[in-house]
Amino acid sequence: MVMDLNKCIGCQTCTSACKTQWTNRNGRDYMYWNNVETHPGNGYPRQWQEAGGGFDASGSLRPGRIPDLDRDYGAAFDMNYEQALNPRGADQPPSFGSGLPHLAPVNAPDNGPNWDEDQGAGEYPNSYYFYLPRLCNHCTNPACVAACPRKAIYKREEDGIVLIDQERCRGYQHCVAACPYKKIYFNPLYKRSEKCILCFPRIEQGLAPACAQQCVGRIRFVGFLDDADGPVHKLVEKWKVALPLHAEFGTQPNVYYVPPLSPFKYDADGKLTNERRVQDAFLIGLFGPRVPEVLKLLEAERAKKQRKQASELMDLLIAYRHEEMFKLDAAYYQKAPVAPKAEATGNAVAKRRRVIPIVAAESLEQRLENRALAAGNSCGDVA
Amino acid sequence: MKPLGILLLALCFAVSVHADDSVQFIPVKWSASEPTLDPLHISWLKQPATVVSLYPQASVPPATALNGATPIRIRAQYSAKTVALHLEWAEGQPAKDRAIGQFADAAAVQWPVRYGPGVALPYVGMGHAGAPVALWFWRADGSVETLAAEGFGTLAAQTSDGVKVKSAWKDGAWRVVYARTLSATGDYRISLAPVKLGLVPVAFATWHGRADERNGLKRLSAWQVLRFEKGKVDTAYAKQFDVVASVGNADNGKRLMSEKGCTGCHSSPANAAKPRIGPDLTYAGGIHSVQYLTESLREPSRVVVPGKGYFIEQDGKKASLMPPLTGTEQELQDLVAFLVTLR
Repeated sequence: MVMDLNKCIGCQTCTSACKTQWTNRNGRDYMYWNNVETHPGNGYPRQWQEAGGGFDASGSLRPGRIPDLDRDYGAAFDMNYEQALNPRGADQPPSFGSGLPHLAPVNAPDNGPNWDEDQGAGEYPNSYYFYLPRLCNHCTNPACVAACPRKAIYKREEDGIVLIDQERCRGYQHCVAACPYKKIYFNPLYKRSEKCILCFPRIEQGLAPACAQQCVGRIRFVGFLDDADGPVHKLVEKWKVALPLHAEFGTQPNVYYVPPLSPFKYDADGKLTNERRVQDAFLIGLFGPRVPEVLKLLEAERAKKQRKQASELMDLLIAYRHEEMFKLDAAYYQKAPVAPKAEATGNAVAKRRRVIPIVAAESLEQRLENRALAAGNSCGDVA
Repeated sequence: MKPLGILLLALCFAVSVHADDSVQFIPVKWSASEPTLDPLHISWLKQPATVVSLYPQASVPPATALNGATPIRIRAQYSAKTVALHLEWAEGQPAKDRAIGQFADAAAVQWPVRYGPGVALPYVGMGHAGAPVALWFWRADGSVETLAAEGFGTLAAQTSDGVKVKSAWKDGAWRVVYARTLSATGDYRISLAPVKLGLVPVAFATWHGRADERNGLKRLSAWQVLRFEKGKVDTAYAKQFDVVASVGNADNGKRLMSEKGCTGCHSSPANAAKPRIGPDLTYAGGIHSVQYLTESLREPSRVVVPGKGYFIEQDGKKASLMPPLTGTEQELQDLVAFLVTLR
């Protein structure tokens, strides 16, 4: 996946798409497999960049910590429903009026996911921030896989999606500590670890993950890195404008970011300078030393487009047609054979991968159109 | 030659270290009535306990803090139908819940799936390939599982063999009773028939939740032997568990550790370099028998501890990176004598 941070508007539609699809129930309520955080900022879970994990220079696992539910993940607040809605007791009719308790958190909250949203840094009028959407990086060298003593986490050979075998996981949480991006979550209800599955049931049908499909800013490109015709290959390998987040963690992430060009600063007289508000050094801290050259290329290609010259890169990034941002292949999954893998200790759990058959071959657009027709196509227009 | 040999042996004995508490018999008291599951019942508390040492797991990472042995008190009873084990160990504050970054206290009883005359014991840490262990696992959150494993990382849940567990934390100690029918059918289960075989190997482990202990972060015992009060004790079989006194010279063995290159890969308190290429030996003498230590020096690949980087795959089989010891029989004995002191 590639995300163009120049286009992210921080609307959290990806977050909602993921949450309603996967994490709004059964012990997952606190989890955000996909989140959008503000940088500069603490991120989610709070200060994940300082929480350790990943690999050191010699390739050994670095120690990491498990985030705290309240302090770091920012668990949901408990509200005083009983007290506020039935101040005279549950068997009495509700009453309203001054002096009665109003609905509020039981304890004053001091953290939540995105507690510092839109805060950023810098002094007015040169304050600045940008959004950073994050999900599991489905790393090539996953620290979670290396840390699991149960070999419960595996990387699918056919597409590299990293999954946790829920039958093997025993909830030891070594993976939670080891992931330097803190994108594995312990489910306190099922007592096992869970993570982003890159919407593999959708991927196997040739559909983009929910976060990418729903992205209104059209920032997310999805495809195989080695597919030379795909948008991901073009941005990462051909144009080299997409960079991994914190490559120094040593896990070789497979989610890439086009770094953001920020607005120019004002000088003391209120005149625009040609200095960007977000310092290169800050972006280099996130995306590595190639940031300045990528920003220069983006500026140059943007200028071309402004001069009405052709720019393949800008056309790609503008994404005139949403469906062209995704290049997946349902037929590939129908063909890919997966050999069952026997396991130790008798009760072998053969690793069978569930391929969900394609029910209809119609395109997504066709389907949406059909649905609109079925709904009477009445949106906005009253007959 | 012979008198000289005897003389040498006698000299060795004079400075030898005896591995006199690595294997002991734990009496299993006969009870005409069914043993109670209540861990605080007088029938348990008045029964004398056998004290067994638990050692921090250090053989494979992630390793437990190397903070010394702790005791666990074992009591056992059986009836015509049932076997029951009573475990008691100190725990200042119990940890009963599992949550995000929070771990519960736990204890496990480990059995060899196959045992008896002529059968070698599985590797004490979760068994080894071809020598599975059956486990009864209790956790302070109330869960009880029947598990099986044949080496680190192979632990697999089994359908319950019917083991029942009751626990109580009181006055700074956990007391936990495990009870099950003597016999059991199915793969990867312990089946007991004291009338035929009155000696049964068993090992124990505990997890201290407040220290974030889970999986390999634990404390474990060496193989122990249950002796059923009215069970049949075959003399030849009993000899199998005889503590073999090490006849080596531990001081010489300590010297040989560096001379033979052991310290290049193995950490131990005597090795300042703390390498991590092979299992940490800090508690090797506490958890392993003299027989196992001797065998692993002679044939390192017979039981391979599957730590990352400890072995290579050869023809689909794990082969230890450690070469078999080259040296005299005496040098072997001296090394074993030293290893036995590591506890």
